[in-house]
Amino acid sequence: MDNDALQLFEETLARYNRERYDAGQWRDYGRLPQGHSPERWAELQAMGCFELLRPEHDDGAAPLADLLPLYAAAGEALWREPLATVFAEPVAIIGQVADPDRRRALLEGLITGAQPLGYAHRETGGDGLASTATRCAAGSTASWRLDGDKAMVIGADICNGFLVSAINAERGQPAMFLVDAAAPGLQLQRYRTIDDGVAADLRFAQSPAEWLCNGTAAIAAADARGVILAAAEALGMMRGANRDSAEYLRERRQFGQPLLGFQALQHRLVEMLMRQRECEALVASVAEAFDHAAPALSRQVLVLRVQVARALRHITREAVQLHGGMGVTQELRIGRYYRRALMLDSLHGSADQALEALSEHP
Amino acid sequence: MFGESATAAKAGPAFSEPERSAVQRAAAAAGFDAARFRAELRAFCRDQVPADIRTRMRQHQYFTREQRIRWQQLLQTRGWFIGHWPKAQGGAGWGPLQRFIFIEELERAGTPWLTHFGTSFLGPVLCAFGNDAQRARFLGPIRDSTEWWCQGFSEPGSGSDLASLKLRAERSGSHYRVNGQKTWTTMAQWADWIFCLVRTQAGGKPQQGISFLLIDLKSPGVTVRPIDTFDGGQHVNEVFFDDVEVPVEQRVGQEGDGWTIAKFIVGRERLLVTEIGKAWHLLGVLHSIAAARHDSPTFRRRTAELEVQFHSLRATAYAAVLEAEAGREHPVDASLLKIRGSELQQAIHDAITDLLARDGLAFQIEGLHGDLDGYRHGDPRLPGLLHEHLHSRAASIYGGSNEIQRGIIAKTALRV
Repeated sequence: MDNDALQLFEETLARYNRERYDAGQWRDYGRLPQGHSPERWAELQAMGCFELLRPEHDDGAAPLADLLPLYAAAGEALWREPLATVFAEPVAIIGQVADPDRRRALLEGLITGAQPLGYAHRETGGDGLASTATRCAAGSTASWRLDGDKAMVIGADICNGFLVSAINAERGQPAMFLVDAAAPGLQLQRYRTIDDGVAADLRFAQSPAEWLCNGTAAIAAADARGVILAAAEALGMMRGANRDSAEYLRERRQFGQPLLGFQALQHRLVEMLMRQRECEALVASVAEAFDHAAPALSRQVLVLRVQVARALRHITREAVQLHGGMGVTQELRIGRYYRRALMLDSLHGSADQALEALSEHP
Repeated sequence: MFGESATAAKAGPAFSEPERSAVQRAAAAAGFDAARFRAELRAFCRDQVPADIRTRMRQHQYFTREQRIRWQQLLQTRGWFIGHWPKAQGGAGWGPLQRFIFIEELERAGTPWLTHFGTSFLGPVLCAFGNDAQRARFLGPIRDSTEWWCQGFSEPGSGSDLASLKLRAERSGSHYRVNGQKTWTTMAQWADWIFCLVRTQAGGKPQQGISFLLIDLKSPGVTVRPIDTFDGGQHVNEVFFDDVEVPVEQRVGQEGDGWTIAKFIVGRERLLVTEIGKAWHLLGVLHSIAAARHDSPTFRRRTAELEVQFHSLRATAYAAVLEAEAGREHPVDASLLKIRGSELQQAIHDAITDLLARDGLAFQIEGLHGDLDGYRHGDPRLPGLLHEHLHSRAASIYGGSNEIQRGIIAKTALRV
């Protein structure tokens, strides 16, 4: 996207947020049975957002950098629609599928909205993979069966299928499988999450599955993509929290002057702005590294996780404090930013884990 | 990733390579190849540094005046010392990006700090505000490092509130008579000339009565007195002016232009104050010391924290440079780079000192300037490392303290 196109896109998204995602609308969408608005989801597609995934060349990938404004807009207005099922991990997994026809078909399923996919990799109690896949001979074609549990799959309700990591029982290596949402032996348990969203745990019992690709590279690519997009979303939240805080301090008067007149408060706000700016720069540079498959990408992703998680926590925490009592009400979006920050912080592994990984190989 | 070399003169960490595509694109638009330029600088810093200077780099010793001049002259054999000057004045017309890469690589290699007062401050000021006679007289000796400049901005009563400065310059015929004092004048003890903000008019807005004068430090009535700092160094001075006569031709711009020129200087150098290359170099030092000592999971975690800080700052610095290259300016950047750059430098020095622990307590400061005659306790780098640690505390004070920088961000970004 060149600069002009980017600016236009950002303006479109800003208008979308103004017209479609004010505080009242956000609350209303949450009361719908899906936990989000199918109407908004369809509108995003009608706006052409899903087309951002279409690669310029058949064997290439659409730039991740183009998705940053979309995710930032989502962060700022706290969209409830499950963007991840189309834009995040599935794209990376599909990119690893060897058969070009199958790859194209799966990607097309995302772009048309016909087949959003849930990323079912993490399990409860750590990073270990306990799920297993067994190859079964069934007639002339060999098929696979999955057994095990996957935790906290985002957007599971709207998914037609799940991308599931499992240990290949024959080779002992992780692989990625596609399981139809209506597959036999698959059970979904839905629940609310800390950010007022919806997630589900999955249980597979001899569920038929399609082998897609080897797991290690696919999981790394999917996680990197997920982390970078989550960071872009966090950026949008930082912008919103900083803007709201500055406006609040400007309007709220105590001791005969606006709160923004107090230097102690100014400097706290300045610290928040600086952290936002650092994250902006880092997200852009790591997204660029992702798009160019830079050699040390995995390390950059760890750095990004630490920096963004800390900045987001700092900013949302300070935003609550600067809003005083209003910061802990359901009325303002400040409290929602805080809760969403808790979600984003741990969804891809905590900052502490990332720091641990960085320090293991200095 | 930082650990391969104490002097960090070898190839850099894989993290930053290959050159970012956004940087390559901006460089191509500006007419140079960023990766090739960086490689050329690295090769130069690896192969061309004279042996005596290299020894001091390795030992973290202080460079002499003569060594600094020789190094600057060596850089100028490639046209790099004044690469950022306009072509019409003998420079290479570098934009902010090329200049940034140049300084980053010099710092990363640990080469002597360039005395910016002439080449980075006054040179561009003369190009933009000076007249032909001033350019003809002063630019050549700056380019050749044959005249050493220092900067007379701060005064005893005018630190953070610089516009309140009082050094008086009264016009009498073809001269100004200058009376008063400057302070914190870096390397004035080595300088031939000083450029000064002086007050030519009292009353009105304090910014309005300020002018910009070039003063020969050999003029009668000038006294330079060193200030001893707690790092054991002598790099800042007080400069006293007692009825010093300065020809009117040595005023740059019109009377009252001083504040504008001062802002021009600060604006041009706003991206370099972050000293990202120096932080890079210091992280290499930290890792080289850690490799030779017992380190702990706690310490490795601390270095990982520094790595996160470093890469966040470097990404921000490049974002700011790319903005500048495109002729834009983000309201937060300049002060952010100053604040975070100094914080990072201090944090790395803290980590180095903590790592050395008991072994780092000897402070044989004579070792800063050459080999010790008698007994030396511990690592030969110790005097330099401790000196640099102590000196780093000043990084959040000079050039507008971090508190002032936060105030600036509050003004520009929050419009308070």
